[in-house]
Amino acid sequence: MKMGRQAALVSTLFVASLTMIIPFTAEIPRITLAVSVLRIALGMLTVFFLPGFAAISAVFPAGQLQRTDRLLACLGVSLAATVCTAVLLAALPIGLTRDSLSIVLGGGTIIASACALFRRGSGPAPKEARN
Amino acid sequence: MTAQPTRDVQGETLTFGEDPHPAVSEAPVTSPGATQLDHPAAPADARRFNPRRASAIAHVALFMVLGLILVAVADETSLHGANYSDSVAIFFAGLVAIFVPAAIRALTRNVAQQERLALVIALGLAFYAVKIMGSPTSFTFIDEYIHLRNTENILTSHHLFGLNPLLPAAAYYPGLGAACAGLVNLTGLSPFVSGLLIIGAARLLISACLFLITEKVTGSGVAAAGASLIYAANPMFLFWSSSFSYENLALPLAAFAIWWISRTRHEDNRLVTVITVVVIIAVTVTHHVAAFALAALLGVWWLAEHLFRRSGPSRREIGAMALVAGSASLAWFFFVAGPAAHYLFGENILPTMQQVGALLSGHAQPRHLYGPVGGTGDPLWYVLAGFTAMALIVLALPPALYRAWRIAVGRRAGSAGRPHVRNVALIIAMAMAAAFPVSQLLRLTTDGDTLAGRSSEYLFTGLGCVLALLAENPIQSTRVRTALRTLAATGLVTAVLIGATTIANTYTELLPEVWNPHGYPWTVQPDVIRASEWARQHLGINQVFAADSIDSEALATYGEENTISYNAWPIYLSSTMNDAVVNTIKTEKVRYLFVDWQMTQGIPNTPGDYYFSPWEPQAGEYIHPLPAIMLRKFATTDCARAVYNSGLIQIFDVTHIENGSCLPASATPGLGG
Repeated sequence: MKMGRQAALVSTLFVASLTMIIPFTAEIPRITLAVSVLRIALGMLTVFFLPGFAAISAVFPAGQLQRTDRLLACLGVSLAATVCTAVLLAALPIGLTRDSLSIVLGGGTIIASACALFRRGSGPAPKEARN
Repeated sequence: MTAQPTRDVQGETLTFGEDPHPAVSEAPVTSPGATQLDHPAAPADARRFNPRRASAIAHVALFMVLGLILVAVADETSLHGANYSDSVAIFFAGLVAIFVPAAIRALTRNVAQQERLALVIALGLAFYAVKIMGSPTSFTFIDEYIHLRNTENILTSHHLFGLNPLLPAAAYYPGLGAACAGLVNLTGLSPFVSGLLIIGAARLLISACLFLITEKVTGSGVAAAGASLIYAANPMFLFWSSSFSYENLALPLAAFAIWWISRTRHEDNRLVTVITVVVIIAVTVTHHVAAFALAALLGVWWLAEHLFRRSGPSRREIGAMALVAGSASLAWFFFVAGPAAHYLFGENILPTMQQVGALLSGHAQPRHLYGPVGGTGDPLWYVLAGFTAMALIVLALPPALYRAWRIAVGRRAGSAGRPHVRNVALIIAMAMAAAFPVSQLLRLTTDGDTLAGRSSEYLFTGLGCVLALLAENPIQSTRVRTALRTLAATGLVTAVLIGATTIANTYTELLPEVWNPHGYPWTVQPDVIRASEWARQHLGINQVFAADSIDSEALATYGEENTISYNAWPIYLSSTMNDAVVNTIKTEKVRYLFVDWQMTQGIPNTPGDYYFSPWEPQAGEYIHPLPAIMLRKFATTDCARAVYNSGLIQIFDVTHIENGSCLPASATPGLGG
């Protein structure tokens, strides 16, 4: 199970990194359906799941939350993080754009995932809670 | 994981968040005086999902799909002008098909906690689908246009606080607009689809959080399911709470904050606090009332624990979060969202209080709760359903409060039998439940109707807890025919659902309106959208338009124009281009007039029975449509130039009147300088 969470965190790192290439998809002359679908999937994961998953994994590296609670926390924290990030960016001179949001939200997710991996590696043996 | 029941073993007071694991009790009450707090631990298999029960879930899902199909049929038949009362009957049959099987299953004994949770979430999302099916291609509610304009402003300018002509105060709570603009940026989806996704996610969040919170408060899975079902039956849940409006993101986030704090309050981890603060800030920047409600609830929670409970670090944590929420919401409200204070107090709370005062002192008559009954008005059954729902709640409330009191307050052994509060959260829920009947008195005033409706979104959380505890005892009992009692409880909640739906929605506006109806419409029509899009392309955005109330919603969003509706009535409601017309055009700096000839075909039904503003002379008293001469006058003056003319829609350029270079013949020379 430890490997499962670890793999999920590495996947989160990977997907969050992919999110940061979203701005470059706008440069593609002819956006194909596959690119559009990929962009929608990445965007939705970034707004609704990944920031929360990375943050919750960083806060609870030993998996203290049950699965249901963890999923709920991922959604709630992701939504809250998106709201705060979007408002903050729009309030700053940089502005809320595709580039700024994908870099800040994706970058924050990457940092939180790395933090979770670090804490998971250095902490006590994980205790996976199931529900 | 073994369930740990919420118990009061040695006089310790319990509150939600006390137990790090959800307290669930599925076992029967064993003695007449026993409460759900005395339930023994539930067997582990009652909490976990059992694949053998999959068929029950499949049946519920099947009924939900059937219900949604019926609702879709009702919407389609209404949209195509079929017999409206038949469509309404099909619609309510669909609602019952969605609600009843899920409610029966959720209220049945010995159902796994996860199954109940899944049912409650599925029900919340199914009701959300009902709203979407009513308007699957665009927003239709006034608040949806307000926040669509906020989103468009942020997408266009990349910054906050752009002018929102539909509701200036809304621009200062940009959480929903910014999140939606962010999703649009990241996915490339339209603002409409992005908005649906965000509110859908918020609906999932509030459904799950309410179930888990009430499970902690009541200590019972059946009661938690009952509380969630009663909350789903609140008048606003079906349509209003599903709309693209800032409160419908903020309230779920606030519920999440409460659940998160209760779930993690014993964690000795600074990062948990950081997450809590982020959630509180998200609520603060999204909606004023939800932010204040969150701060108040945290404050009351802290105070109640201070009064009734031992001290400890977890209580201090709640106090600190109450302080953060309170100071953040007040600071944002007074230092950032300046116009919101006037909107909230000047336009909503104070007028309502004045009307309540006038009502109590006998200087005003109570408002008619429904339109005329029979004939072209509301059918009798529609009115009776609303009163029945209210009567059921009011009748059930006293015994429910008594039962909740017995659960919440015990007697400490060895202290002369003095009362001892052992469930602080339930006391808070009782206070909210007791406030509900009082809040509904506001419906007797003109302006208080909205406040009463909105307050139910908050008060039904406590009301649900308390009423569900009343139903929980007989359902859990093994000595009686529990299936029958489950059915009876389901029937009562269903009656409340149907009645509450009639309370919150005018009969004629329950289902989608036909396109281009004969008469004055109550929703934005396709030809108005086309004209608005034409205006954006050919006249540019942010032009000052005068328009009627409904059309200004489309102009402000599809056209991205700065519309004036409330102050525009003197321009339209006169037979000649007189001084009042010219004066209003000049003072409001109106450059274009949006003329919808449908105003001459029917009287307004909503909102508030006016074309432009509640302050126009005949607001609420229209018997005949607008005389054609009032609109024809614009074509008779050389100072106004028709730039758009399509069907029933015209746009006039009145720039020359606005800048004073042309004066209509019927106006006084030298007017307005």
